[in-house]
Amino acid sequence: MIKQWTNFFTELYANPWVRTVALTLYYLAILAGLILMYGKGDFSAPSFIYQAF
Amino acid sequence: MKRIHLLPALWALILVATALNSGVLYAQVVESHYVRVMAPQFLRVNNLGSALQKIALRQPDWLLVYGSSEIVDEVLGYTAPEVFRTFPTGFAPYEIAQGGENSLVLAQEVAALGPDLRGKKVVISFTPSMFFEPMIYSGTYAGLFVPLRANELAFSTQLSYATKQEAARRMLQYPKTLEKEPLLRFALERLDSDSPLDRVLYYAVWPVGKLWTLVLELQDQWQALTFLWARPELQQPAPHVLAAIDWQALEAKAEQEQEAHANNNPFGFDNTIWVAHYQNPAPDSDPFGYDQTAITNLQQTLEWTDLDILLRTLKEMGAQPLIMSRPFNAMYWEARGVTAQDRQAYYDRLSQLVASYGMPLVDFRDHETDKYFNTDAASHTSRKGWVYVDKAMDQFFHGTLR
Repeated sequence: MIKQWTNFFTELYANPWVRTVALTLYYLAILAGLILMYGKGDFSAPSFIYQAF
Repeated sequence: MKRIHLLPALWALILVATALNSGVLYAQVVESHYVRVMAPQFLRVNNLGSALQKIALRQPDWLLVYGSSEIVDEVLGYTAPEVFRTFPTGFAPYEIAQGGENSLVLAQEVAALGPDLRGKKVVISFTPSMFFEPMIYSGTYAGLFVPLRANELAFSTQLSYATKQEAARRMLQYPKTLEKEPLLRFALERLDSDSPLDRVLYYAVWPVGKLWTLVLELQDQWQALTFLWARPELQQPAPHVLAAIDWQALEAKAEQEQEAHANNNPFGFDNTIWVAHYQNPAPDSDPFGYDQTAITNLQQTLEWTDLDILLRTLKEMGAQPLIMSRPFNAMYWEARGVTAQDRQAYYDRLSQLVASYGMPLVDFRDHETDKYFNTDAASHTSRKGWVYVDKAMDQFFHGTLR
């Protein structure tokens, strides 16, 4: 069963179009992950000491 | 094998870049709508980023005003956002201020506006008390430090290498703010050095710095957008009612009100401020009680270096600024043993520095003996003082300031 699936995906991946789309999605996932990690930013200010002006 | 990955990676990059660009354009459309319709008011988000300020710069009826506590202090009925609430003479102030703002922070703030600042009028406001310490407290600087703005200055294409170098030298004196900013610290340290190798290293790291600044700009856009989404009430269109302002009548009314609120002390300070800070002074703990030390500091403080950096930044960015200081309260300072000559030294030095950049200056020095111009010894502006400040802003906006 596993071998059948492996063969199916190997054949599918041999198709240049499928390979291009799969890799594009792979890189998109990486970039999306980076955006999620760094997109929000940290806008919290440290404690503030007022200098009377 | 490598070529197999190249095309998908490129596709992914193009798709993400397109999506991000569309997101930024959408954010700018939303921001423009809010900024165009809203009434003059403080938006906390302006103290954390630059996105909305850039949008406000592009609107013809907003005048950007940068300052510190003399701008944000309590509502008196005569502050610029109140007097110009309905854009009576064709504009309203877009104020970006928080207590303790100083020249070095302001230099980073205006540098972050980028090319949008060229040819635009802005007001830079402060009081003499900004110069009363040997240099800005590290805690104050850290509380006002915004990595986006610091990076914009360090990797700016509008500023000369020499200006960035001067700013870097001062920014490095607050190392705690750079602990979480290794790239920025590296760039500032390279700028600090005079060696050719460090100059080469600065330019080598510059593209990475620009890329990181772009990431921070995207974060800033997201922050501004989420802030606006949470404030739908800002979309209520502010009425625009053209009307002449009777400055004389407004001043008379303000003076009368100020007099009624400042009658428990000989200096014309606000009654509540007098009771809270001056009536039973605790010199060691009260930041509002000044003496000759403040004047000695005023002559030597690094704030003059920072102001020079700020003016250079404004000049090189192509801005058209109005520099606006406030007067000392002569009665208070005389009582503290500070002479007119001591105070004159501040006005003279400020005038010389600002004049060297060919910029207009309003310091209200003629109001030194005006008992009701300030609310305290730190030269925070009173009701009456605000009328003069408002009038100067109005004249500056309309090009009639003499």
